[in-house]
Amino acid sequence: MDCRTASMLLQPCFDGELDEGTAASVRAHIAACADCAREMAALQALRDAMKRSVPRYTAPQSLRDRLKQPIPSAGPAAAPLRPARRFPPPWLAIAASLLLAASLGAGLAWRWGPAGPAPAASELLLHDLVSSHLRAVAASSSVDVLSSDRHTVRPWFAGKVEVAPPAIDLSAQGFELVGGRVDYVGARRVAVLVYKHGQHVIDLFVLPEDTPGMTGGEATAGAVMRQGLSLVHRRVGDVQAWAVSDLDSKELAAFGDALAGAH
Amino acid sequence: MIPSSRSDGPNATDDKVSRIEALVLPHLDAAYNLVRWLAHSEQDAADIVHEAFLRAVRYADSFQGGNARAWWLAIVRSTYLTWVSKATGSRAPLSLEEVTKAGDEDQPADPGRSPEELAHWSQCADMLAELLAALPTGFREIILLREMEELSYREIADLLQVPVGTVMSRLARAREMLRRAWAERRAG
Repeated sequence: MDCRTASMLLQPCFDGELDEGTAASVRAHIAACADCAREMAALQALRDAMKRSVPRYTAPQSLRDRLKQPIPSAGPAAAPLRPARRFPPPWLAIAASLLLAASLGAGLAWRWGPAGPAPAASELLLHDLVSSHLRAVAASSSVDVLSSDRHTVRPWFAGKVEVAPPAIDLSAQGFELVGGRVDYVGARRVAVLVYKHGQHVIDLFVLPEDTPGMTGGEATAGAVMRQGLSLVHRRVGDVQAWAVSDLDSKELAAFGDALAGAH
Repeated sequence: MIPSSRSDGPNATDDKVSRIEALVLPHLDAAYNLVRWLAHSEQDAADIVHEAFLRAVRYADSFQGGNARAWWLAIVRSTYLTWVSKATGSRAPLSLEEVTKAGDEDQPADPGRSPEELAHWSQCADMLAELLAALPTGFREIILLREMEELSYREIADLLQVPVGTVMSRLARAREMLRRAWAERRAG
């Protein structure tokens, strides 16, 4: 495992979020890499220090007493924050809208942010694609629907994502369709087609046209590199697609061309 | 999913109360701790948890099994958000602008990872609480959920209603910000 991949997986490893196989290869890397070992030790030091010195507040007895009081079903208002009882707003609806706002905020905050010289949406998009790919590769199964039959894969996405993927057969060119999954880019659910080329996994993200950071119009021919991974953008028929892989960038560009040409 | 609008009789309410008590009282300290760290005030924290408890009773039926603590903390958090938006009229109560700003920075992260740093942590551990309290709310929240409540990424993602990838990146930034703040403190 190379250092860039390992550093991406250090925290999930530290937090016990990786499957045993991946965790073992991260640990093997740490054993051999002083930088990553220090990083891991720093995470542990932070955790230890928090455990030791960040106070954990306990609920005061007065609160416990308040909770024991009978809940009035009518009459005197019990709590200052309590909404009028006669029109109980459905909790789920309130929570859902709040949480939706929060999640949209999390995903789209940078759209509201100052449109400064920020690395901007396109960089965040690349970041999302890379994290999603690494996470999927790290997980024990990166594929939700396992099938090389595009007639099975495509309908599986119906109703799960906004933009249905094209699911093109490229086995003649050496790229085997192994299945697909639903993943998140920003706060949106998108279709990911998973191809294999030799030992390399290619994630093909099929994105809505208005995805922030999506370069409109012309796709660039070459690949961009982020964290040791290649990314290639192509327009495939009427959808926008980003391929992410640890393949050599030229090979990934060839995959992109085959994809665009096959449509 | 919308709770029925029939008014519950006293008995039904009693049943719900005892059911909810059994579910959430074991996690009362977790709820109070979270809100106390978010809201900075004892009185506000107690009011918010009390309100959250009433909500939990009212919407007891929405608990479909599973992790009671995560369900309860989600109610507590949403009650906190309601409280903040009432108090400030703000639509983005969790300092998302600050999240953005911090995300845009993304400097090469290296506030000094020397062995001395590690030794220093233990000596300066006391200032950690102060630095944590100064973190933007969205980051403070996620590091609390992970380090103090020891929730998994999935549980945090469900609670915050964000993708797991967002949990990962926000948590990494929160840790980075804490360490950077500490490094600055040491330098200054």
